[in-house]
Amino acid sequence: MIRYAAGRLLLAIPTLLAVALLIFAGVRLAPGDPALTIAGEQATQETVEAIRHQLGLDQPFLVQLGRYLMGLARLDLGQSIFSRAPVVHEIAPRLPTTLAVAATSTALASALGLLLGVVAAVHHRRLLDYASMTFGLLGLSVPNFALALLLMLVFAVKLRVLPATGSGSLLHYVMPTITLGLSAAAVVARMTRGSLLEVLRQDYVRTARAKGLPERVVVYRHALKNALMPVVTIVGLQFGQLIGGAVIVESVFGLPGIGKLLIDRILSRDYPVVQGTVLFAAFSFVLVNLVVDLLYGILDPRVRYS
Amino acid sequence: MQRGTTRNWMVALCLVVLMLVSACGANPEGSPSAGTGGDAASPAAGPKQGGTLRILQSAEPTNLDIARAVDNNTFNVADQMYEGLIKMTNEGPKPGLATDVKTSADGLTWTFTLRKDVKFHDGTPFNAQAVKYNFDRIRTGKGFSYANLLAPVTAVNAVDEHTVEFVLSEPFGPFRSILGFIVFTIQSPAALEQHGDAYSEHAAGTGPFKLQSWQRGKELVLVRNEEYWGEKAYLEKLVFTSLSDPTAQVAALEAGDIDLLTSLAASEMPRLTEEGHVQVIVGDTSRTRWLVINNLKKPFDKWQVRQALAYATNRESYIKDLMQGQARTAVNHIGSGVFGRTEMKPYPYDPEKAKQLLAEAGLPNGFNTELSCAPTEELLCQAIAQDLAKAGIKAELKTIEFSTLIQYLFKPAAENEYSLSIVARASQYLDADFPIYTDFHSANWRTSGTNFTFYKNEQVDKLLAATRTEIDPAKRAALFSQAFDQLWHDMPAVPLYHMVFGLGATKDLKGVTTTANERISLSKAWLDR
Repeated sequence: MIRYAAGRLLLAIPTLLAVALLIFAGVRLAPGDPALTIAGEQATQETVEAIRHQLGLDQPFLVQLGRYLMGLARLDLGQSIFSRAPVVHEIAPRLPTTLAVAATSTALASALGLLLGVVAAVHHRRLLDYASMTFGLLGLSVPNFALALLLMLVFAVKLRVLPATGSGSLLHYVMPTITLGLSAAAVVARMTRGSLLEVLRQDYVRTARAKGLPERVVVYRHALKNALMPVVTIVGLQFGQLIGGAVIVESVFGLPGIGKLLIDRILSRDYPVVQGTVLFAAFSFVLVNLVVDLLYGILDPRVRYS
Repeated sequence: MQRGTTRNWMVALCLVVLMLVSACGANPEGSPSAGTGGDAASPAAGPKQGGTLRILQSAEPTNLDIARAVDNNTFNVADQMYEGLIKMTNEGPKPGLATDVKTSADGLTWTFTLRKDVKFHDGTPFNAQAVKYNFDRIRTGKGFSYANLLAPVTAVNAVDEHTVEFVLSEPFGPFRSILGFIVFTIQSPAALEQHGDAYSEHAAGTGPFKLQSWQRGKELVLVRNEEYWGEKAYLEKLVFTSLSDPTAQVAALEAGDIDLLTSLAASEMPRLTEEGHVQVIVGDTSRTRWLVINNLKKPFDKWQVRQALAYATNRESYIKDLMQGQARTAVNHIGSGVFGRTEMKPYPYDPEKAKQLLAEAGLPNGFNTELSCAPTEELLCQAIAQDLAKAGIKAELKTIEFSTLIQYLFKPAAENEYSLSIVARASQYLDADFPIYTDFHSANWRTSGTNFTFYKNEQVDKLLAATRTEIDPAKRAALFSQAFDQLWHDMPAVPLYHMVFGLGATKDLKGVTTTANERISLSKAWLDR
């Protein structure tokens, strides 16, 4: 299994390299000029050129790319254009916040999603099924930012039970967790329901029922465990996506995580930080996928890594 | 059995909800209290000492090296930390770190007497050497955006410990005001030398507040400077945070998470004022929104066509409908509070007159053009396009993200392709020099300056050049007045309206002052709680 994991990590290198190339070209192809952002609209062309030179942005594209890749090979993500601090120092202090939100919302999504999914499957085509799935549909269709602002207006502005923005206490994580967790819960619920319904139609479940096992045991001990495989994949993918979802939620709630960092620096064209953050997000995604694959083996002894 | 399972699940669900609700209800320390507060406090006799002011901005400062700063979010922090030789107020330039200024008869030597009792936040003394260091650094260094404003300065000499002398190549009328521009405030040479790229974490000025810490992405904390040479600040601490979403910004204010919001959208002002939970502080600003015109592009090279744009735009309706009344009729290219500004007679909204002018210019059937807009100005641009259509000008809307738009507008004349766009211009040092000289003198055509209308008129060039070499304020004002007569006729850009400067604050915040160049001073601010 360790060999398998190491192999997968090695395979991640070309993926990350492709991401690095794409984002490197992407930020440079996008219009806008960091030198102009730094210089301000009042600056003369001369000043803008001087800043561009300081940043090395006057070099040919391939030279810039070469330098960037050489840096990456040394695990050096470069320096922020604005703070002049190494990109790693920009990302690292913000990481705990993003991971915390991703973790709490994944926990909420798994708990709520499983609950709703199981309830829906067990009560197939009855009221509770429809209620759960209506919730699922709502959770999927309400955009994150709308839900975030709605929660903020109700709980922070009107009821004043939660802080609207900022960080520092656990309460600051409640609304971001709900915002991200609900939509993910909807996906998990639908997946759980579908998967469980399929398993419940299998022969061994009929056998279990035929030999008179109580329904609870049939569902939870025999069916659910087998139905969980696709759910684990979805939860993993959702966790990866939550790191992306953090972009919106952190910007709205003013949480100092890497999502807010990314948006702030895209707006100011801080190329090195944007590149570093996207690359990091891609790496997390690869890592989460690997963890999910390893989890298969634990959930299903038939899965062998080779 | 199934029913039992359902009941168990429902009970569990209820428990989870209950736990969540009770956790919220517990409201432990660190969570917001009712924001407007002060209900128990009786009206105090005077300002209260102490307290922390939580300030929310639209973005983080970029860099605390103020000589390199260009944005208001940085300026707002710097305003509390740094001081210049001259202090700009709504009543004109006042002494700052210099107590006295003498100008030689030929106007070429300016001698400043410095305050003797001033220390930088890092403990080093403020003196003539420090002033010389700061200005030489900008004049001879690279990448300082506003260095061109100091172009006439040929030398800065430390005459003695507390006397500094600026030698100029020609008399320089706006010099005193320019020295009041925040980017020319004085920073500790020792801190700049010692910390280099990491200066922002160790920034030191002479102002009433000093830097305590800056955790990028989280918060920047200033504390009261107990060794301040002047009257010490009332507030003990200023905590700056940032949030880009305007709806969330206002929600944070209404929820009581913050005490001061430094950028309040005009659209929010009427509602917040009416509801009265928070206070809306409205100040005058020189900021004026323009419909900018590429004067080099046909048919905008004809003044009749540019005047037609002024007649064709229903500017009062933009103020009423789009700005919710939170703007003023434009009577100049620059708003109130600026030296040299004269009030002109606004062009009435008159599409027929516009058509007539177009016919005079040989365009009886109007013409087609393009209007390039940042997404934030889309509504305004739609309104303008509709108005222009009534006069026969078909303007196609092009929405371009802001930083891209700036790049598009700022190309050199030969490659510049824009026709019409929207910008907002403000005077940074409350002298019509900026942006009237900087934006309408032909020597400042992109790329050597910010004249991106590419307007050129010999008479105006001559008058504006004279406002720079004349140092007598009355004569300068008269020269500006003549220049405005010509500019108002030529309409190189159409001023749409003068904006207002809005801050949102909790009701117990007192003593905040603002100036027309959008500087915010918190040195006399206090919290009544």
